[in-house]
Amino acid sequence: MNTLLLVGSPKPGTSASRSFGEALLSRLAARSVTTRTARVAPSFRSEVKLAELTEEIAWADLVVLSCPVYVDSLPAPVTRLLEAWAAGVDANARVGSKARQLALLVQCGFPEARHCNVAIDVCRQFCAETGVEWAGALAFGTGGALEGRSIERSPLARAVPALDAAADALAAGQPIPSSASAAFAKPIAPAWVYTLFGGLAWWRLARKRGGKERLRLRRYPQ
Amino acid sequence: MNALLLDASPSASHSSSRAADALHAALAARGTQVDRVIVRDLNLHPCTGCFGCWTKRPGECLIADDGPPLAARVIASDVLAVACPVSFGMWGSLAKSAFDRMIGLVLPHFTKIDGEVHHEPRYARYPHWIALGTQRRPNADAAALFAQLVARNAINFHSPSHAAEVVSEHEAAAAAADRLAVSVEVGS
Repeated sequence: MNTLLLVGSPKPGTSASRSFGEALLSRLAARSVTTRTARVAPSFRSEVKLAELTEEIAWADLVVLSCPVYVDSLPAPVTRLLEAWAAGVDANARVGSKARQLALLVQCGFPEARHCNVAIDVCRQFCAETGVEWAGALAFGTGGALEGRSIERSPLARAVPALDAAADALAAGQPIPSSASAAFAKPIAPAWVYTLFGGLAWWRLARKRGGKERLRLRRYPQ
Repeated sequence: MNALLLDASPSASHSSSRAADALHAALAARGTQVDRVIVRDLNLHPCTGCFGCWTKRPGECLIADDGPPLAARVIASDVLAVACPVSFGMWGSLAKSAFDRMIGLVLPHFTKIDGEVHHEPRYARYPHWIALGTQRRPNADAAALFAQLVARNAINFHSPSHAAEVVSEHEAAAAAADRLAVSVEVGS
């Protein structure tokens, strides 16, 4: 089985999406799955890179898309790629027509994983419209908790057995078990803890970057 | 009342361009001054997720392209009207590339709305949000998802009202555009 990890975070270096995706991909590789990784963002303004990415999709039996929630749904470059993938399927072209399954790993910057629901439904709808098989999703809130860390050393360590179960299922050509999805969706921290410390973290980052004094600035006239 | 109409059609001959025409006409017929922006003509890079618009230059994206002036026009408007193709129940990628660049219009700080955590507003008021999506073929599931997405966006964007309609490629958009324009009057 060939599996392609598509990293949908626009960040070129470390990101929660990359950490999440690589955690699953390493488990699939350990189960004799052939894997590749590609970033989505560079394809947004390059037809050449978009074509290369759809070629990669054509290589894969399973595509694992790992991305953040942006404005309640998928980031624009990921949307653009899905449109190109669907166009390839629609035209019955060689490119984009092979990948049989799509699984989604998604995280958001809020404590509640349900902010990811629209992104999940969009991917499920993509599958319904294109005939690609929906292989399920793992979603969690507090996405930043995983940025640049291994899952074992993150607050999501408790979900490692669920990730193993997801890898078992996907390596066998099966969808992610709903029990694994439920395990990931459990909040890492109570909402009040998240909002308190999250607000503090933004203030600290603004102090470091020089924006602290103007954090609440209304920059544009109304 | 003034409206910023984002025409996020992929081409002038696309059905979503005709939907934008219909939305323009429906709003103008009610005395709304319409400022139409053709999104495909803008120089818009995708959001890089740097959060500079919250921490380095609060309220404004750091990318020097058409994104910051577009955000300024959005927040100055009474109505944000959008016409675009519906991609699997969500905004087409052109429209989405614009919205991804708007997070500086809210604050990084958190608040609770209906028991859910969201970002605090940065501004005193936000535009009403109406959306007219087009589909190649009628698809009720995708249309329902699109309406759900617009509702979620309106919560996070602190819009006083929102409404969404979806029409298929060969369907006249005038009636749907009219309902959207009426929804703004009702929501005001």
